[in-house]
Amino acid sequence: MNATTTTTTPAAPQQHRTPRSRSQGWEIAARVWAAPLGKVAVLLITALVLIACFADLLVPRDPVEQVLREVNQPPSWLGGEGGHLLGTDPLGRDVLSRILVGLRLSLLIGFFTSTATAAIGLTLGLLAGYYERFLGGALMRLADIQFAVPFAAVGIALAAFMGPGVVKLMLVLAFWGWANYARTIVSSVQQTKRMDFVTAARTSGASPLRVMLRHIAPNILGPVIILWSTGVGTLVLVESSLSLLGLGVQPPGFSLGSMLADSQQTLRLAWWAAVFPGVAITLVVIAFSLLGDTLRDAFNPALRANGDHDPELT
Amino acid sequence: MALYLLRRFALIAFVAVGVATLLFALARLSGDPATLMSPADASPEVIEATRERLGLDRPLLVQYVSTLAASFTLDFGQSFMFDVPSAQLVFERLGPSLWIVLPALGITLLLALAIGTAAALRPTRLSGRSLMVVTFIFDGIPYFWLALVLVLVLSINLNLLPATGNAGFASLVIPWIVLSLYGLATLSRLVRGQLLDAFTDGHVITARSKGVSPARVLLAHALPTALPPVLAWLGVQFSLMFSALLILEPLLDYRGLGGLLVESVTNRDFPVVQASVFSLAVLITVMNILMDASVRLIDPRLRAKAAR
Repeated sequence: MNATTTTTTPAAPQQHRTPRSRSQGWEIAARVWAAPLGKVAVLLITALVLIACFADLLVPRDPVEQVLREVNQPPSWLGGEGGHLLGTDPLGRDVLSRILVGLRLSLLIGFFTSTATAAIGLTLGLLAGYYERFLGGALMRLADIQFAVPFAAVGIALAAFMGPGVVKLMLVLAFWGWANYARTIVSSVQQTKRMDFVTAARTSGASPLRVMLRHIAPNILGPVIILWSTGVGTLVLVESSLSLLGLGVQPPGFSLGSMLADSQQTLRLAWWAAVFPGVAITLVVIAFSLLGDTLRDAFNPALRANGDHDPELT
Repeated sequence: MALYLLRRFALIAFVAVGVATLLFALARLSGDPATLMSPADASPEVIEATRERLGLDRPLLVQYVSTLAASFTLDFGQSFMFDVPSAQLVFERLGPSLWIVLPALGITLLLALAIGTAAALRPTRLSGRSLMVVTFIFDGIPYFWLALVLVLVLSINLNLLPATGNAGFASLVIPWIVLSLYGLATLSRLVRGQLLDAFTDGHVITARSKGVSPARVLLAHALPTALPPVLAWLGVQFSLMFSALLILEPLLDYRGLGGLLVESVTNRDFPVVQASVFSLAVLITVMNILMDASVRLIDPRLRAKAAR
């Protein structure tokens, strides 16, 4: 039986298609691929991931090698010496090579943190929606409090008190982000819980855990996947911004964000060392937010039909 | 309405207690506060003295209750760095930050209404679609990077603006540009979506059918229907802008609340950290409540409900 056909609440804002079976997952993928912007997003992300994986083979120079003779060289097409396509930074390292390798850490942080946040958010959202009276109330009030505190404030305070570092940073980011997910899915969980097939499962003796995972979770995966996708881009941004304050990735490790941080002081001497990593961050964020947006359309074709309006009316 | 206001104020109190609790927990979880607040190479005796001076040798519950009580009277203790009451420091620095955030919020709203409406009026044509693609590109540009590029172009290359510091109006221009572009994409998309929904609403179709001019349909019928979620989002945007400001202010060497928070964190000036996070949380809650209240004033459906 499929939840699609049993939706009783017309106000239910979410996806009525579950990516439970393989065919539905493929259908979502096909819809994303069919959208022009979806194609752009998928190709861009594939390219970024491939570059990050094979960065070691692609780099024209050693990304950590410091060539003192070639400090602050502009890009070669602006007359820089040494043939550095995107110039060198104040320590004489090749900017292009560092971007290719730095992309790896940035993407890893984005993927892992977003996945961890999604897992925590999904778990707490399921619990809050299932045990709505007590636990749900308490969790949602906690979310209210969290929403009132700007995330950067927490990140800065924690990073400073615990000491900077990537792993700590990822943990903090993952634990703070749950509220966003929980808020989004909790009402769908509550609605799904009241549907006939869930009641049937409960009456036939399924444990709460089984009901939550087997019967409710597949129906709320849509928004979770959408949030996950935009989350990757956002987390790359957040990592960059905290690295900018010196609270994120520490040398000798480097990400796109910490490259930006290293070169902001020498903006007058070598703008290329700050500008090009920023372009790379922009590409990452755009790719994932485009993917998130096309996923939203793919999960909810009705919304899309609504968006492409009858031209007669406008 | 009275009950509504009462409940909203209860929310402020609730958030205040919650944030104070969170801060207390963070301060205790992140290690021994007496050690953290002492100089890095302090001897055990000095640390012990700090512990006594700050009352950290009392039972945890007593500490918690007194911290909570102190938060509500805005008594967070003296700043270690400046030796003035932390709350006073926060209020001095809040002004410069609001000078950035509030105008930027206004600019964002106006631009988003313009872009969103333009895109909603031509949802299928190339011009409408490309507007939306542009918003995606804006969405991806990191605000702190944009700030660096603007400093590079406007201050270093063209010498039009001061690069950093608080130098009156001129030093506000770059933060205004950066922050008003920061949430523009999301807000424009929201305006567009809401307007497209409003165009299919019964009362808008009725207005069109009885021959009301298109401009009037848009301004008097469709926009008021579309506006409430947009206003509600402004509350969220306010919080996001302050988040961005925490990164921007140190970057541009601007002396506002964001700069103060980062400074106090790196200097382990814990009373100031507490005072600024607490005030920010209350400020953001109040802003959200104001937005919520204005939604009620605008939305006739909610107004009717409140009158009953």
